[in-house]
Amino acid sequence: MTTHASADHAHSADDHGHHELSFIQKYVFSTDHKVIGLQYFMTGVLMGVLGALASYVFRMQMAFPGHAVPGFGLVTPQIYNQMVTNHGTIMIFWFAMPVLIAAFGNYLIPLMIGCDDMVFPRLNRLSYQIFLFSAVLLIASFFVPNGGFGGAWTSYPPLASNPIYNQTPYGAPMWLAAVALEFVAFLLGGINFITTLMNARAPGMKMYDIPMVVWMIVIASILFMASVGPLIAGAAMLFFDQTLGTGFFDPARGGDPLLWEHLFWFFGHPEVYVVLLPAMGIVAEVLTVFARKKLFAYRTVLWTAVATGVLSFFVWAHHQFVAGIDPRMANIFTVTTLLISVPITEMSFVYIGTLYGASIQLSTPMLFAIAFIVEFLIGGVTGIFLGASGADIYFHDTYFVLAHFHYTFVPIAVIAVFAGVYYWFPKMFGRYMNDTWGRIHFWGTAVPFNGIFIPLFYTGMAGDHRRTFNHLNFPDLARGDLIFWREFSTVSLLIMLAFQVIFFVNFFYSMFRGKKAPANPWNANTFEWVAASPPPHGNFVTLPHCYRGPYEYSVPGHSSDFWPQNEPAPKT
Amino acid sequence: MSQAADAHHGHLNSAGEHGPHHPVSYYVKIWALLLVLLVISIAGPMLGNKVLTLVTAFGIAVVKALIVAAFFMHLNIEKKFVWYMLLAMLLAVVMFFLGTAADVMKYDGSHWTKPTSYLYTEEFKKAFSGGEEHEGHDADEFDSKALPNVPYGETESHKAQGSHKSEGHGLPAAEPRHGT
Repeated sequence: MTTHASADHAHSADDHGHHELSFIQKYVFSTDHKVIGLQYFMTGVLMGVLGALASYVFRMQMAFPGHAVPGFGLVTPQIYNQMVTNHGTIMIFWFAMPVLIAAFGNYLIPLMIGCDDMVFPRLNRLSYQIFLFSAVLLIASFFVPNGGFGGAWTSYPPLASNPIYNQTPYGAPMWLAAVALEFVAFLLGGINFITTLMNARAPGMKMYDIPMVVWMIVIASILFMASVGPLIAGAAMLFFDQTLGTGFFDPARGGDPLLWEHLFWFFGHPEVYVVLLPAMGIVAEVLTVFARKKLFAYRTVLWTAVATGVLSFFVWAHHQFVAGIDPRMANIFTVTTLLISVPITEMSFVYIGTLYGASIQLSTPMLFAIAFIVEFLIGGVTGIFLGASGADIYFHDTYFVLAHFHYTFVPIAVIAVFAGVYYWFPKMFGRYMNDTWGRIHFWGTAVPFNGIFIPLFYTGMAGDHRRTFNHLNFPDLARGDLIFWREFSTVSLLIMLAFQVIFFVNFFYSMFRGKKAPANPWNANTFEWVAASPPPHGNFVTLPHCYRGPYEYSVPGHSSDFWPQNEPAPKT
Repeated sequence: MSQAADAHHGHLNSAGEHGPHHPVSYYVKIWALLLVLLVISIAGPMLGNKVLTLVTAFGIAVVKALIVAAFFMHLNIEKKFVWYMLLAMLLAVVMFFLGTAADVMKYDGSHWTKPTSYLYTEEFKKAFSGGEEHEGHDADEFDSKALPNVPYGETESHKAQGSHKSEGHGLPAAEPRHGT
């Protein structure tokens, strides 16, 4: 380690003059992309645990209404709203995005394109600091008078815009400010990712030689950059409505609540693909390595990702079919919504095509990657019903919608993230995670996950509304079978949460005591496996040169079944 | 590059890799060009010709925005994809407007009304113009006292104030939709 580090410092002495870094320089004000990536990862996972605990509280209320929740206490309607709102907000903005885009993006992009760091390391540092501040602000909003915001993660006015309605005069503006700051952080990070990919690739790495996960994170960053502007403008207006008494969105003051819905969902729907694409990229990397086969149709995957990104800007109003939008617009948005399933389906077929005829190794990351495709498929197919404006009138805001988007988001933010963590853990810490416990964790995650959400499709079709505090107040919903399935779903959640303990123990134990891993434990082709494990400051001893695409596995006539990108072709 | 540019920027940049480094006078020239365009965009609408007003006001604004983006924001020395991204974002703005306008730009339709918005818009128009007789008005004549002070949820109380043909709910009758 030390010899590597000092050799590397000599190599890049012009930017990094200092040798002995103090703790503060190394961890608090570090500009190293790997440290920032891990900080994003740890903060994101911590917030994810908070979001999961919130789901525990309100799922217990759903299954056993009126009973005190063990370890929490009695859930009042106000607390229930806060929990649901902040579960959604945290899981999307403080867990899925930081882990999938910021953590994997920061850690992987410079390593996978063969450079020593991001092109704007200080901007990167600022991005994380703003993100951390926004997370602290969100958590602080629980402890102000009247508690945190409870108007759902979409924050629709007039409920959100007027403290008389939402009863959280401090919680609501703090929530909104935290969300806006979080967007600023990701905007800074995204600009960094795009610029780094375009300017700092290893010599010889052409556009079609870039690993898919890097492409996906960068396309997601472009989508985020293009879509977030309206929402930041909208957030400023909503903030004025809440604090200064303006009437942008409050109909009682002449405003238009539909305008907020448009501003929100113009961002909100591309956001779905902002988190989906990096997950697709992670799965592509894991699939090819453990299938020992070239990614089927690299260019198709890339261009369908671009097509998905473009189409994702044309579908936002399908969230508003029953909100009173112009019915003629509903026709247009139904068509575009159904159209966007085409590129995503194509991508799924390409992944299945990659598995066809492959010599598959069912390692832990591979299990998670395959589970991603299977589970995401259910999420996608149930979306077809909701995308059709006629069916959506019935399904809108029921648990069917909730089950549908959890079948998309959980594979993205949980299953694909686990695939990525098990796969890149040896690179991050130089040690393997325990494989047996990894498999146990896999089955304990993938099976109870279905147990949570398949019953919710059913209760949703029976009429359970997602904003209801206590279904037993409605005679039609107090039926025995519905009560059973709600309890079934909650118990499945408890099982799934319990199995995550295995992951955390495995993660932290392996970090210090796990089996030592070599630099390239999976026999993979991409550049990050050329660097030492864990990579030193500056990443590579000598910056690599790219000779071929990232997925040259089992090439006929080549001596081994993998052919790293930095290995020159043998002279003939 | 030139001495002036290095002196101006204070720190030495590895010039050449990031395109040419221009002297300050280069930017002053572009600023002067922008001033000339500004004069044209003010003088054009004064002539009173409708087409000329549109071209000089909006056409020149577009040209000025492009000049600022190209020279001050250095898009002229960036890679082509930055331009493409900028144009894609502008397209997104247009699309967002098109998708939203149908809902937000109107306050009544065949089957729905937004009485408060309607009242506000009408009252604001009256307060702003100070009646029908005045033609040349500007922001100085704006009388904030003439604005209605609608308390939450009490829009009904204003139907008496509405000077338009009220139909009970303070709005002109919505046209019934004919045919399909």
